[in-house]
Amino acid sequence: MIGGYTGKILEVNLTDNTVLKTPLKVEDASEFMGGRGLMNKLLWDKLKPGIQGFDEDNLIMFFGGPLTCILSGNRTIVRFKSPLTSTSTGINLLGHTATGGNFLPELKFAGFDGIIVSGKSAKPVYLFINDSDVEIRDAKHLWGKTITETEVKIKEETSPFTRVLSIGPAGEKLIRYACINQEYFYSASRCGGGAVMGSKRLKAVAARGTLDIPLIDPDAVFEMEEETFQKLRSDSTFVYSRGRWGSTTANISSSDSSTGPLKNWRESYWGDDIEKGGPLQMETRTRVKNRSCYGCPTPCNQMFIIRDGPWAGTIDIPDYDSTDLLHPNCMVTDPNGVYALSSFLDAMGLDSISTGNTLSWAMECYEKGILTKEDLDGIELTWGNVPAMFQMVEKIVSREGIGDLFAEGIRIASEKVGKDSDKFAMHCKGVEWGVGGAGNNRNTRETFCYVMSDHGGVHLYGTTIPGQNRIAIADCLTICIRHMSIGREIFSTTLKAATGLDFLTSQEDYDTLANRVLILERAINIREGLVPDRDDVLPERVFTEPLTQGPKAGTAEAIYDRKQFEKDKQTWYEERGCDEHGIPKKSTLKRLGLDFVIKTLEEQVSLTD
Amino acid sequence: MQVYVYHALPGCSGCRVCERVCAINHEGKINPEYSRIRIYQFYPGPLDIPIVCQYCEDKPCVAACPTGALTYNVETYMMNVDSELCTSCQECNKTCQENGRGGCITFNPRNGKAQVCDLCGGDSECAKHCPSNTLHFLRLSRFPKRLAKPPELIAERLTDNLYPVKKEVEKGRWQR
Repeated sequence: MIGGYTGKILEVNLTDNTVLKTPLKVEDASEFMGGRGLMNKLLWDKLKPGIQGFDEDNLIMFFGGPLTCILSGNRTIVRFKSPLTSTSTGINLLGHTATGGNFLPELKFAGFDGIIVSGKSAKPVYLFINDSDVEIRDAKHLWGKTITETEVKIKEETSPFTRVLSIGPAGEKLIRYACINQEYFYSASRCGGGAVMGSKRLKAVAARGTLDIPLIDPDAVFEMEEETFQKLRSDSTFVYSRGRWGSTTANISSSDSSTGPLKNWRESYWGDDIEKGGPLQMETRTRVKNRSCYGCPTPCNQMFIIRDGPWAGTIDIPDYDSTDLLHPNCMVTDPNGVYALSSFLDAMGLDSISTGNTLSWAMECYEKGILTKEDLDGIELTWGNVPAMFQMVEKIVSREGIGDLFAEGIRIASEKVGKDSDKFAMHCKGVEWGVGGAGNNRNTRETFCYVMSDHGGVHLYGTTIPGQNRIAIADCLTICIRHMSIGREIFSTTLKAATGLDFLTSQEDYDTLANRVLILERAINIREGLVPDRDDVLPERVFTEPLTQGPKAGTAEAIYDRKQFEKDKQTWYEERGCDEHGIPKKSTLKRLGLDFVIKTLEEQVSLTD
Repeated sequence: MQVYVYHALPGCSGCRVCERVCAINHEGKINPEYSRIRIYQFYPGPLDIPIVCQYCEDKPCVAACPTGALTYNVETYMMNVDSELCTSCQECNKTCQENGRGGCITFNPRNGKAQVCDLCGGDSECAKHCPSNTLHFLRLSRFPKRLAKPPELIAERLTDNLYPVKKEVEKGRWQR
C-alpha cells in the first residue's frame, strides 16, 4: 500500500459523457512522483500524436502530487496540447501551466489524484466532483459569464465550500492565450489552457471533498509540517517583504538592475518612473490585506482596492508578472489603470502576460506606422493609453475587427501583419515572454528560460540547469517554487512518511528525477514535430538592438552576440545529455529509464548513442 | 477567566493554516473538514472570515442539546462535547444560527458528531500559527456581553468599511 496519493485518476470523455475511475499505477508514481512528471508519462501514453490544440482528441489534465495538501503543497498543475505553443511551422506543442489556490487539495479530499478530460461536448457543461461522485452538469446558463459570476453561481448550486476552476468569455471564444482561473485571481494562465477548455465546451471544474487521505506514518508527517512551518516563518524575506508588498516589489528591483521589460522589451531600465507603480505607492493607496493559497505559512498575494478615480471600487490581486507587462512594458504610468486593467483581464479570463505583450507589440507597430489608426479600428493605441488598452481588450475578447487577429497570439498576428513586425514580436515557440524568474538580460542566464523551454516563452521554466531542475521538482511535488527553500531532506522525509516510497533520497536522485521529467517533455515535443535546431531560437531584437539606458548600456550585456548564443546553446544541450541538434542521446534516455520512448523517436529522428 | 479566539478583520488571508492545525491537533487528520474553525469566503473580495466559537455569555447551544452531550464547564471555562452522548442531531448549530450567532459548531464528516472549539485546553494552536496575525487569544472580560456574529453580517459590515463605493455582498449561497 502506498499513502499520500488517493490512488485514483478520473478520466472523463465529454464526447460520449463517460466517466472512468482508473487506478494510479504505483510504478508510474514511484518513477515520476506526481504533478508534472506523472502527467508527462500519461501524456506520452495517452495523447494521440500529431493533433492540434483545438482538436477533439486533445487532452487536458489537472493533477496534484504526493505532497498536495501536505506541507505547503497546493499547486494545481495543468498540462495539455497547447493551441499557443507551436513550432515555427505551426505545429502545436505541449502546454504547461499551474496555479495555487484551493482547488487541487479539495479534489484530493474528493478522492482523486487528478483529472484527465478528453473529447468535445456538444453543449456547454461543467464537471462537479463530490466525494468521488462525478457529475457532468449542464452549463448553458453559465456560458458567456465572467469568471466571478461563474464561480459564485456554481457555489450557489453546489456547496459554499466548493472550489472551482473556470474559464471566462475569452476561453469560450477560443482566444489562444485564455487562462483558467479560480477564486477570482488565481490563474493557470500560460499557454492557453482556457482555450482548450473552451474548445471542449467545459466551462468549469468544481470539487468538494470530505474524504481522508491515507498516510503511512501520520505523526511523522505532522512533525515535518510543524518544522516546515517554523522554518518558513523564520524567513524574513517571506514574512516581511513578500507579506507586506508581495511579488510586485520585483518591479522596482528588476528595473534598477536592468532586467525588467520596458517598451515592448526594447529597454529595461525605467529610472524613477518605475516608482509610480511601486510597492510604497501601492501600499499607501490601495492595499487591503493578504491573500494566500491553501495551507501556506507565508501569504504573499496582496489584495488591492482602487479608492479613487474612474475605477474606484475595483478589486485586484496583481502580481509581478501581470503588473510588469502591463505597466512598464506598455509604459503605463497610472498604477490605478494597471490594476483596473489587470482586474478586467482576470474577470474575462485572459492571460495578462500574453495580453500585455500583445498590446505592447501592437503599440510599437502603431508607433512605427506598421499598423495605422484605420487598421486598429480607430483606436489610438499610443504608449500608456489605458482607455485605448481597455477598448482593445474588449475587441480581443469579443473577437471583433482587429481583435480577431490579436486573439491568435503575436506569432500568428506578426506573420499576418508582416513588414518586419516579427523582429520585435517577443515570443519563443509562439508563447509571449513572461518575466518573473527571467527577464530582459540579454545573456544566457535569462533568455535560456524562454528558449529552451518545451512550452514556449514561459517565465517559470528556470534559467540555469539547477534552476530548471528545481522548478521541475517543485512541479512534481506541487510545492510553490518559492518554498523550495524547505530543502530536499525535509521533502524526502515527508514523502517517505506519507507515501512509504523513497523519493529524493540524494542529490543525485533529485537531479535524475528532474532530468527524467524534462527529457521526457522534450521527447514528447520531438514526437509531435519539434525540430530544436529550427525552433530553439530567440526573437531578433535580442541580437540586434542593444539596451541604451541604465546600468547595462554600453556594456557587453546590452546585447546578445549571436555566436555566443549558439555556443551557449550547445553547452546547454551537452549538459542535458542531448546531441548537437538538441535531441536526447540514446545513452541519456537509457540512464533515465526512458527506454520506452526510443522506438517511437527513432521513427522520427536519428538518435546518437 | 474566560478567553476565546478573536479574529481581527480584515486581516485574514484565507490560507486555512488554522483549519489544518486544528484538524491535526484534535483528530490527527490532514483534512480541514475535521476542524473546529472554518473559513467562510465572500464576494466581492474574496473576503475571508474565520468562524469559531466565541464563547457567548448566554450559550444557547448548551441549553438546546437534547442529550446533554454539549456542556460548559464553569471551572475550566471550556466547552466540551461528549461524543458518547452526541446523536448528531445538529440542534446546537441550528440554535446558534437561529439566535443570530455564527453557526460556530462543525460536524465530523465521518460520524457526524459535533465539534466545538475547546481552546486547545487553553493554548490555542490556531492563534499561535496564524500567519497573518488575524487570530488572537483574548480575555472575554474586555468585551462584556460579546456574542458571536454570523459570517454574512460580518462580511456586510466589512464591505461597507472597505469599499469606496457601495457593494452588495453575495449571500445567496450562504442562505441556510
